[in-house]
Amino acid sequence: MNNRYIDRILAPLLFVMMLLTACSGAGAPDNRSGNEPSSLAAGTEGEPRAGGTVTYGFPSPFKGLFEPAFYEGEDDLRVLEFITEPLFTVKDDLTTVPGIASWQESADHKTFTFKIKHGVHWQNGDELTVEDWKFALEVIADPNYAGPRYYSVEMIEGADAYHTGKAKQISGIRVIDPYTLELRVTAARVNTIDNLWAYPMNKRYFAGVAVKDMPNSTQVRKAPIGIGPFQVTNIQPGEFVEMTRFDKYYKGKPLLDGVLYKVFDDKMITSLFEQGVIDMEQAPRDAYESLNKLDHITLMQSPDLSYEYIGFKFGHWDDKAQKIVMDNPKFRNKRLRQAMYYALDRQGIIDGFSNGLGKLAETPISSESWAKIPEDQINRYPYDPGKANELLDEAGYKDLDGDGLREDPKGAKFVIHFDGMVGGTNDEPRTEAMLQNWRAVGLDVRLNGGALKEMNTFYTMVEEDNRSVELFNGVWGLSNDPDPTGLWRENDHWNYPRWSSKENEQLIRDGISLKAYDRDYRKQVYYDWQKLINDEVPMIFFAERVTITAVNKRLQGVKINAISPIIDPYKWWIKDSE
Amino acid sequence: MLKFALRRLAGSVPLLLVISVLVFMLAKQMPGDGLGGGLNPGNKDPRYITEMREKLGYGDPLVIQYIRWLKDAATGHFGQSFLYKMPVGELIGQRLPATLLLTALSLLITYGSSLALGMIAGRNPGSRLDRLIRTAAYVTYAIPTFIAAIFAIYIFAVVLRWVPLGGTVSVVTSGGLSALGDRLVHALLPAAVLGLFNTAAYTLFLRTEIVENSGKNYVRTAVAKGISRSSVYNRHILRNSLIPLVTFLGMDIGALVGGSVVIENLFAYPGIGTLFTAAVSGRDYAVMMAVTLMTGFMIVAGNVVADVLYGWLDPRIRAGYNGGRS
Amino acid sequence: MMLKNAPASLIGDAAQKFAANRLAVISLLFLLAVLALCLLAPWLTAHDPAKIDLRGLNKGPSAEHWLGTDKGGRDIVSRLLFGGRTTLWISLCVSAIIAGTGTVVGVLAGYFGGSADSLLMRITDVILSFPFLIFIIVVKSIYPGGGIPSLIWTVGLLGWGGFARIIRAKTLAEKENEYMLAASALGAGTLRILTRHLLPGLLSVFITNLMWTAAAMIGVEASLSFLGFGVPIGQPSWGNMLADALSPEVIREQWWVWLPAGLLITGVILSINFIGEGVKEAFKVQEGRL
Repeated sequence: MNNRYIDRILAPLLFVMMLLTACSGAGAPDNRSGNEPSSLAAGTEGEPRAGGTVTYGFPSPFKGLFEPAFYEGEDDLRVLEFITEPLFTVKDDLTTVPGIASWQESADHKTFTFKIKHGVHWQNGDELTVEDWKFALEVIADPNYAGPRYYSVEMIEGADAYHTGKAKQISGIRVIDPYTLELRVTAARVNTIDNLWAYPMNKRYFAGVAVKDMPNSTQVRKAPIGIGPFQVTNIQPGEFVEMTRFDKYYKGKPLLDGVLYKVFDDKMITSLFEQGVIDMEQAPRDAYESLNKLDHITLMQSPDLSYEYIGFKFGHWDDKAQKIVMDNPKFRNKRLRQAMYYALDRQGIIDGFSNGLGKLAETPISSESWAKIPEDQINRYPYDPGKANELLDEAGYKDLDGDGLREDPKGAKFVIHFDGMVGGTNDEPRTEAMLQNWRAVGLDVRLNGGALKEMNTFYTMVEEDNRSVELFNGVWGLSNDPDPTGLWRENDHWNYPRWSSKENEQLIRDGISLKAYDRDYRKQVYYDWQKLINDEVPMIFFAERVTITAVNKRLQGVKINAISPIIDPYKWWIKDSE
Repeated sequence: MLKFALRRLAGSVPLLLVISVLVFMLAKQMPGDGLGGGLNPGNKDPRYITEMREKLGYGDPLVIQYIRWLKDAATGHFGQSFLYKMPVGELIGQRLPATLLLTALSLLITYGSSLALGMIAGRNPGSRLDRLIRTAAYVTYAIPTFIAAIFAIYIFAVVLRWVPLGGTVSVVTSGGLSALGDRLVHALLPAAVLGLFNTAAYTLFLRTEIVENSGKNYVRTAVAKGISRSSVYNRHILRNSLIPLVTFLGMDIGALVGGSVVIENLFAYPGIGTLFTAAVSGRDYAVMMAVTLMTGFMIVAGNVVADVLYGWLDPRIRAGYNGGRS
Repeated sequence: MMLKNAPASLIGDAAQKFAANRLAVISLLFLLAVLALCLLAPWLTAHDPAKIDLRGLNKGPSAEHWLGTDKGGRDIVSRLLFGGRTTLWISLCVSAIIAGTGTVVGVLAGYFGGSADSLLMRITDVILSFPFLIFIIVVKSIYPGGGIPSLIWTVGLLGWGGFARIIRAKTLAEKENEYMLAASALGAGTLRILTRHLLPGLLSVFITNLMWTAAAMIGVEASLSFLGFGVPIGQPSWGNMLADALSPEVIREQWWVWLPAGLLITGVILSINFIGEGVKEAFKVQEGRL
């Protein structure tokens, strides 16, 4: 997906899929014994040949919402990636480029003319037209649409009137011919294309289904169709999806006969790979070591578009004013925040609990992005308890009663409550390691309520600014576009730390101003913003995560990137197992 | 006999009602909408909540809400699963067969093996075989299902690879006999482990019963009459020893359903147990409450069946039941 | 009066009989040894059961760590000892609640009969109509948090059904006994009958069931902790230690993580059961003689 907001909504789900089952991690992989993990594409051996089926594994039961406009998590997304495609392509460097659709942008950046390829077919035989795209945009803008994607059409002129039921049509969409569509947006934004909804929905196939009934319709649940290389033939809810090749796929007939998408328990993953039951799956990080011992498995690593952080609560969300209020003095002292950063042995934790899989991060922009600031321009907050002690002493947090724990500058007991999510097998000792890191510099950090919280409970409490939440360990998904709007502005509900500043607001605005159509200017704005965040430490950025994808060596042609492990599956093929 | 069965069935209606009231009250205690799953517990927008509460009729008196819920539940409408985005009834319908297979298989294994072992031990009390069986049963009895399952997975699935590791279906087969066979293979190990505790308990129980019954007068009489020992064992002693075992059936169903929560999770077996824990951790309250209600009803039904069976085997019970309180 | 002395001599004789049961005595000694080790844990081990060692995760047994370390680099021996405290404490408290509630309900229902009996037994029926684990999990998910005390109360208050039924049945049987009828005919007060005559009569059933409950609750702690609804994760308990062993890799390659806890739980439950059997046998002979 090429959108920040989706990822944000997905963040909790992403968490289930990745951190839950494994554990976040960072750092360059130290190549241990066994086969060396290759990074992006698996080595290709021999000539591609047709035939065979592949089993793609997933660690938890899927919901079965097989339509891009409605799906919620990776569980369903992985199936969608086999059966359908967006009209644009996101490249490895996270820029959006033309795919099935190409476009021209007007001088004022407000009108786009899209042309789509001829001869792209739906799996029911229909040819793809722009009517199908228009239909998808209308479904998402519909007043009865209950899915999480409205943000991806709201920039279209007239979408708001349609969404509130005031208009029968979206005025900004105009079909010129079956292959040409004109779209007007309300304002010039440098990332319009990145945010725009790009999946078509077959209008004829969904004829007669009311938008509110769509999530439970046969068309979504039982017989989904797409324009991708594989089509669904059999769904066993929560257990498996059987797919066969779609011969009229517009890029050419797929080499594989079919794909079986099946749910397996993560605990068994190594044994299942060993037995050849699974051909490919994004593996939990804690299975890295055991999988790496298997000779017939290639482990591919890709940076994940998400980062783990430990946020400080600076205030609360004022629902009436729709704005944050920074009224909590607990973490107001910058040196306290920086000291807590220095006190954490992030690399040690990643090495210990995630097999070193993860990349330390100090700013919230993906290291894959063109907007990421070079590491030598920021403070990397290396593990340094001495420095942390020094900063705390300077800031006036001193141990007055000799119990080994610091009091606050006024001399009162200083206790910080920490919240985290229950997840993978290592979450518990991992959290304990962090708490002990802070205790080592005299900060009395305790687990809030004595236990990690279930994911939904955790996010609810953080979002509601529950008074007991002070320090919280969460995960955000990132988009390909570096614009921090949505998470970092003072009027963003998802600004969980409830932190902002004048400079912060200004820089974020500059990043999407008209001047920002100049790439160099925009880049400099984001460098400045990252420097600000790096010094202020409104949250401790822990690490960017690294995803590992295990692939049986019999499966060839696999390529992965930060966005997905399923790229052009029509090129996948099976090597003769002598 | 039929009259007794019907009477016993009618007698359980008040209990069922109390159970449903209890489940209803628990559901009302839950945040979100434990009854119908119509409220998204993640959505904290007060406007949304007020609107939905009104729409779902939460302003009505509790009694009205209860009756409405009971009516829906009676017709199989348990609301919408928040997690799986589908009707709870349908969801349970998909998962139930796997769990039923597991419990049925488990009962079969339990009764089969405890019958055989109990008989061997009971017929030769004090022998080396008897002591072996008793010791084994005692040890098994002491091991929590949880630990036995870890041992079993290690031995059978990891070391020996006799059984598959998880899932009710290993390869895609479009129904038919082979699909059923496949499911059976997957359920075998979890079912055996699930029934282990009961197997041990019944073996010990049966052994004691058989030993005690062998000393009774009617056996001596039968032997004196010249009936062969094996015939005495098979016809008289076994029959009498088995009758009390039937009463355990009701409790068994409860223990099995509860145990299947642990077992299904350990064996990654997609049934009601895994559905339940997934619902709990995903705060899918409608599913949670439906499963709770369903298991409660299953236990009551199990008890009724056990009583009826018992009454059929031992007419004195029927008389006792008719004569007074249960 | 001979009856007056019956309880005391009953216990004395039973104790003698019990002492002659070798298996039961060995079990008792084993249990006491485990208890002593757990209670003395802070003086027996130099390792902090909670101290994370990032450089010593999942290490096998060594001179430093006799049974190796767990996924957090924490000493297994130390966690076994401290975990035993948690697990046995939970089992003890829960059993006390169950035995207390179960006895009160069972005696009231059995002794007084009538509508009190009806009411109490219907409540018992309802409680017994839910699978124990599911019931606990549902209640725990409505009222989360609270740590170990909340776990103890939840399990205890939902678990007394079976105990009450057994006590009631035994009370009904005792009521028909000659000495009870005699005492009642002699005009003894209800309280006196209950404490002097009924309760001693219930003693053997009470003790054996208490034993059985205590053993079962160790298993319940393990199951709940495994499913994530028991002892808060991170706190050492035998159940939590076993829950660490969920991946086949750990089972295959790190026996020291799960095997000691598994054996200890099995051993303790087995010994409690044997003690219970011993008690039952000891009392059975006594009762036979009466």
